[in-house]
Amino acid sequence: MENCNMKRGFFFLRDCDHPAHQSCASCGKAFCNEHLRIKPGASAPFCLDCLGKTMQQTNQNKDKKVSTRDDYYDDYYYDTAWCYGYRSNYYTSGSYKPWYFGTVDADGSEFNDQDIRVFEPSAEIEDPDAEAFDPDANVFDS
Amino acid sequence: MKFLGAISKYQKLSPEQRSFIGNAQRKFCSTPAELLEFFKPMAVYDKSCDEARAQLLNFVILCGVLSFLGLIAIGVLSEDMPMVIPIVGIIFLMIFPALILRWRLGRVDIHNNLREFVVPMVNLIGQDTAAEQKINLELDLSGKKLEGKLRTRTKDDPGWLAYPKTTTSIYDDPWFRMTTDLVDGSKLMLTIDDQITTIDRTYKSISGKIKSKSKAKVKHMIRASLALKHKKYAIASQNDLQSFGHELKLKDGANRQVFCLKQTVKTDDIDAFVDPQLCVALLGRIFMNVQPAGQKGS
Amino acid sequence: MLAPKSLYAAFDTYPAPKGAAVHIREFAQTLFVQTGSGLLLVLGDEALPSWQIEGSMQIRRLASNEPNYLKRAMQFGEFVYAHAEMLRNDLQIAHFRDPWSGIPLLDVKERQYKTVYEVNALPSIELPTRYASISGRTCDKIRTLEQRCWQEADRIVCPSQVIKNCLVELGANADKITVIPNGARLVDPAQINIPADAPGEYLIYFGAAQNWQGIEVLFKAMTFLRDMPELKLVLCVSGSKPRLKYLQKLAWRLGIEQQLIWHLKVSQAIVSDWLAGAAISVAPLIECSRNLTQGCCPIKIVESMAMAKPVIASDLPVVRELLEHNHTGWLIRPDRPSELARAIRILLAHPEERRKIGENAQKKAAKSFTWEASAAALATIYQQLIT
Repeated sequence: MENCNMKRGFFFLRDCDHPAHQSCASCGKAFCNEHLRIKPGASAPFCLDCLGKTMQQTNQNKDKKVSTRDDYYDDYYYDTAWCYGYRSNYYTSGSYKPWYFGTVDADGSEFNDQDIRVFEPSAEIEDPDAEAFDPDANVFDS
Repeated sequence: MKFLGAISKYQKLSPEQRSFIGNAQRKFCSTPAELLEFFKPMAVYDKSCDEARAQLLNFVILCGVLSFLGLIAIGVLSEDMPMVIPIVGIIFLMIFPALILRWRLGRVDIHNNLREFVVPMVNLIGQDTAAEQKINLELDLSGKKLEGKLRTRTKDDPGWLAYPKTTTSIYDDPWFRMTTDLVDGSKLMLTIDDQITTIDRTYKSISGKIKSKSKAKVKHMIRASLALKHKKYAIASQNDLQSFGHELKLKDGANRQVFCLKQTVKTDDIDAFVDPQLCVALLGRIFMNVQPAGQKGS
Repeated sequence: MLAPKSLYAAFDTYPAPKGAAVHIREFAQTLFVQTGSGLLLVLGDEALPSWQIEGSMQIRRLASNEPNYLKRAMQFGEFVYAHAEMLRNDLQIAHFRDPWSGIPLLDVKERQYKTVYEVNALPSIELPTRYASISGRTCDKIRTLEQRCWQEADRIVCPSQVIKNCLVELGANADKITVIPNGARLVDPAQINIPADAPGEYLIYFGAAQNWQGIEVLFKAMTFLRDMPELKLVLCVSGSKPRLKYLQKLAWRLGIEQQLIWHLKVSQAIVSDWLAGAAISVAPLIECSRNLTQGCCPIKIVESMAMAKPVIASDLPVVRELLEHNHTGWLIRPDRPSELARAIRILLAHPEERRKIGENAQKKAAKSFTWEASAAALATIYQQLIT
C-alpha cells in the first residue's frame, strides 16, 4: 500500500499520510479517496490536482460572467477541487512558492496546547541531559 | 423561467440558512467543512436568484418595449384588428407581476460577497488548517447603507431655491472578520472594513430643470495578520522586510512574531464583491518573506 | 494483493529488543493465522521499511520524527484511522494495544469488524511516571479515551489478573476480559552458545529501562557486593537515550561501573545468548502504582523461567502470579537493595538450589507460560468473534 501522493495545503504544503486507494486517470499517480473525484460521465477517478487544473482552464476559456456557470461548475467551485485548481494557477501565474513541511502534526483531538506541552522530550523525568528524541523509547513494555 | 429554480432552491434551504439570509449577520465558530456545508446551498441559491432577477428585468424591459409598440399598433390597426388591444393590455399587465416577483426575490437576496469571497476564502484557508480546527468568522452582509452603519452626514445647502445642494454620507461597514490557527501553529486574522461614501447632489441644469445625481465610492480596507511561531519560523528583522516598505507592521512577542499588512481598494460599485485574490496576495507576501526556522541563511 | 482480513495496531516500534515487540509478534501472528491475512500497524524508524510484506502479513510503519509523545500518538491515530476506514468492509477483527490505536478503530463509522483491546498497560497510569508535569486534567482526558476503549471493544485481553482487577475496579465489564499470560519458548541453555566475552559468573537484567523496573535498586544492591569483584551484572537494556545516560551516570556515581557490562538495544537473539550463560536473572520491580494497581506480566521473568534460569524478583502480586518463593523463583521485598544483595549471595552460594529452582521454573513455564498456550487462548476469542 503506497501512501497518497497528494500534497495538502495552500500557503505551505504537507504530505497526505493516508494510504493510497486508486490511481488518477490523468496523471497515473495513486491517491486516497479524499483526493479523488469522479467527473460526471467518466468512469475513472481524477485527482484533485488534475481535476482542478482542468476546471480552471475551462473556466478561463469561458466568459467569467456568473451566468456561464453550469451546475457542475457550482459543485466544483464550492468544492476542495477548486482550491487545487486555484493554487496551481496561483503558483504558476505569480511568484509565490509554497513552503513544504513534509508531515505536519495534525492535532485533531480533544487535547489542547497545555496537554501537549507536558509531553515534550525535555519534560521527561530524569532528563537532565536530554539530547534527541528516541523513537525506540516507549513506555508500553509489559 | 429561472425564478422557478431560484424559488425551489430557496425552499430547500434550512430555517437556519433562511434566517441568515434574512438578517445577514452572524458569528460562527465552526470547522471549514461545517462552514462550507452551511454556505454552499446559500451560494448556489444566491447565484440562481441573481440570474432570475436579471432575467425578470430583461422580461420587464421587453414587455415595456412591446407595450409601447403595441400602443402605436393600436392607433394604426385597432379598427381592422380589435384583438390587438387585449394583447397589448396583457403584455402591459405582465410587467407588474414580474416587477413584484423581482422585488420579492431582491428581499431574499444576499450580498455577492458570500459566494464570491467568503466561500472561496473559507475553502482556501481550510486547506491550511487541521481538519477539526475551528474558524472564528464574523459576517455582516446586511445592507451597507443602513442607518446603523452611518458615521457622518454633512449637508451643503446654500438655501431655499439655491443650488447645488449636496449631502455627503459616510458609512462604516466592518463586514468580515476571520481568525483561526493554521496547521503550522500560526495564528491568522483577516478583516475587511468597507467605507462607503455617498454624495447626493441636486442641481439646476442649464435648461433650468432641477436634477438629482447620486454617486457612491467604496473603499475596501483589507488587513491580513499572521502571528508566526518562533519555533516554526525564523525571526525576521526589519532589514529582512525592507521590501514591504511602510505597509507592514511588525510586532515581536515572546513566542510569536506578528506580521500585519494592509491594502485599500477603491471602487464605485456599492455591490462589488471583494476578490479573494487580494487577501491571498497579502498572506502570500508575508509567507514569501519569512523562512522556516533553521533555514535562515542557508 | 487481497485486502487484509484483520488488523493489529500498536503504538510501539516493531521489531525492537524488548518484551513488547515479542508480544506484538506472537499475538499478531495468531490473529493473522486465524483470519488468513492481516495488516500490522506499528511505529517505525529510518532503518525500518515503511511497508513490508511477509507472506500473508503486511506491516505498515509510521516513521514519525515528531518529538512530542502526545503529538506522535495522535499522528499514529490518524495513520490507523486512515487504514481502518479504507478497510472497514474487509476487516473481520481489529486488535489494538493502546487507546491511541483504539479510539480511531472505534471511530470508524459503519465498520464491519469486531474489536479486541489488549491491555498491557494504561497510559493514564504509566505516563505520569515518565512526564512529571502531567496535570490531573490531562490524565482524566487520557482515562476517558481508555474508558471508551474498554467499554466499546468487543473483547478485552490482559496478561495478568492484577490488570483485570484494575480494569474491573475502573468499571470495565469483567465478563469481557480474558487473562492470557505472556509466554516464552522453552529453550535448553546447553544448546545456546554463550558469548565468547562473557565473564565467569554474572547476573543479568534484560528488558526496558523505565523507572518502575527497579534498575536503581539493583545498582544499589551491587554496591553491597563489591567484595565479589569477579561478579558482573550484564544489562541488556533498551530505553530512551536520556534514561540510559542517567543510569550510566548513576552507576559511575555509585562506583559500580566496573561491575557492569552494558549491551544497549541488542537483538532478542543476543539477549538469549547472554541469558543462557547467566547465573541468576533479576527483576527488581519497584512498589509503585504501575506495578501494584495497574499490573503487568514481565516477559523477562517468563523468558528466564523458560530457559531454566532462577529469577530473583520483587514480591508483588503480579510476580506471585508467575513465581513461587523458593520453588520456582526467589522473592524479596521490593525496594530493598540489601535484601536483594543478600538473595543474590544466597543463590550464588548454592548452585544446586539455583539449578533446582531453574528446573522447577522451566516446568512451570512449560505448563502455563508458552506462546502456544497464549495463542490457543487468543485464537478461541477470535473464533468466537468471527462466528
